[in-house]
Amino acid sequence: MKGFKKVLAMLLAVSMVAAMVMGCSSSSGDAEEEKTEESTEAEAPAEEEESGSDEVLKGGGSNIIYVITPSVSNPAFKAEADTATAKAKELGYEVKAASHDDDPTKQTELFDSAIADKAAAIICDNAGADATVEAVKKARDAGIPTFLIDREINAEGVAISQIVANNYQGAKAIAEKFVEAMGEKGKYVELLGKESDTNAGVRSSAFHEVVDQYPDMEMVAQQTANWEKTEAYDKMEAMLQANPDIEGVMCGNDTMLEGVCAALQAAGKKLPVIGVDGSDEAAALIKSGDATGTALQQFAVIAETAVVQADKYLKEGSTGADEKQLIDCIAITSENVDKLSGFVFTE
Amino acid sequence: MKKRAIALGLTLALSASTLFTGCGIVKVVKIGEEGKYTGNVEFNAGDDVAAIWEDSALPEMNETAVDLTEFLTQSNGDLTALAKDYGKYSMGDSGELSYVVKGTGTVEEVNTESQAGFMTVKLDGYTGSEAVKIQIGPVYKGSSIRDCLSFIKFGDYKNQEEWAAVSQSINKVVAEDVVAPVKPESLQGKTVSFVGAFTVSSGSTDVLITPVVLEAK
Repeated sequence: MKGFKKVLAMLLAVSMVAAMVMGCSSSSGDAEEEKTEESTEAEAPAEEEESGSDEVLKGGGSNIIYVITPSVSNPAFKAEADTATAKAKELGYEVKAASHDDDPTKQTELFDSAIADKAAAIICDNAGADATVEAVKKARDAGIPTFLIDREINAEGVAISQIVANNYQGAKAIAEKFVEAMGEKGKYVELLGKESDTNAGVRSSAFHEVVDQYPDMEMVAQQTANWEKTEAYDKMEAMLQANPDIEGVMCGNDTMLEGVCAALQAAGKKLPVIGVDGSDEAAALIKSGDATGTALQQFAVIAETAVVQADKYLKEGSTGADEKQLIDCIAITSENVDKLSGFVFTE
Repeated sequence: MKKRAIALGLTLALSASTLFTGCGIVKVVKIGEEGKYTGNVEFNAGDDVAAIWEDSALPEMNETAVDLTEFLTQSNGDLTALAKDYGKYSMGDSGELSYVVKGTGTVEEVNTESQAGFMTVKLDGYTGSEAVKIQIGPVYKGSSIRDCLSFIKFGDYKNQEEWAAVSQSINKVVAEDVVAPVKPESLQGKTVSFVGAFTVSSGSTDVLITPVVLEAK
């Protein structure tokens, strides 16, 4: 009996210690095993994991690049996804493109699929500055480098590149045009983007950094239309009824700008309206005089830059650039709208 | 005796497995001192700019400023022509192009009608067509000064809002310490000397300068 207790106690102690040690080593063990055939680049297996942010990630082992973006129903994200896909294929990768629809849970699932597919790299326009950090870390632990595009996250040393559209600068630049078009005075309304998207807040605060400095500019309503065209149409219609003397509209993106312009047309009005993105639809409205301007986010440039850097990183172990890189937006008005097509500005 | 040893071993193993969960060694961090470990020190753009203004920003700009009369003469109508020699792009070799310039001239017009007020200056010894304007606020456009400084960059800040806040703070210093003391509304017809930065705007040859030094003669 005594002997049995002793054995039991020993067993228990041993199993506890074993559990401790196993918990630590299993991840690096898996990572080692995952380096198998089919790999075109990445010959040498990663020596030791967890050596901090300087460690060079070799990719999961396959030749697949994941392109993860918000919903491609927005032409801006479609341009981004299409450009990244085309460039990656051109460079010899297999591409899996998917949308997280701005849902962090869905995004995590997509990252898990990328890890399961032993992806070489992930290109991602993310679904939340804080929510994304864990997903990128997880990919990193599996040896997969992530290249973030368009939106940034609130952590450094996790992704390899963050190629960020300078929303703040772009929104500010077009807000200056808005104030000019309004003659520095009058009542206006603002339509905000989806609250969970960092850029909705960034763009709005940039608008207001400019506009709020003008004491005769008065905001009479501010509502979200969740980046959506029809929602923007309905909200604009309602706001016009409540405030028939509105003299201008600021929109967080171009799809909402489209909805607003349609609502204004239906009401027989033409007012200063600004958006952000630089879509061809917005360009057409600027040309026809229905909209004042937009800020072009250079989605194609950003997506292509990310893929080129991913390729370089996988082959040479470095992108040769800082992690955080800002890509400027370009203020588009009737003066230069002719140079804009398919999210590309040609000087 | 043996029993005790076993009990001890068991306790040790149990406590060890609890302590070391997550594999890291547990460390107690006092409230408010997280920044020491995470590097996320609370950001304050105002303090940041106060710290760099006198010691770094002004000396650098005074030193690198190119004479605007010579600059415009050499540029010959194309403000991007001298980018390689004196300019700084916001994205390495593309993006917004800014220059640090200095000069002396006569104030032809003081515009305070717009909130984004400015003075139009006729540069000494220059007859070209570009309009040279110095911003006098209260609204300051752009971020020319921030974008010219060599020692700060976007990557040093948490996100683009903090990066933007740096420029706001700089423009605030300009309004309070550079522009207000010279009483711009009284400068019509006077001679002024300046050091400042401007960003080339597409589709316009206006030189809109945000001053860091502004003196009436």
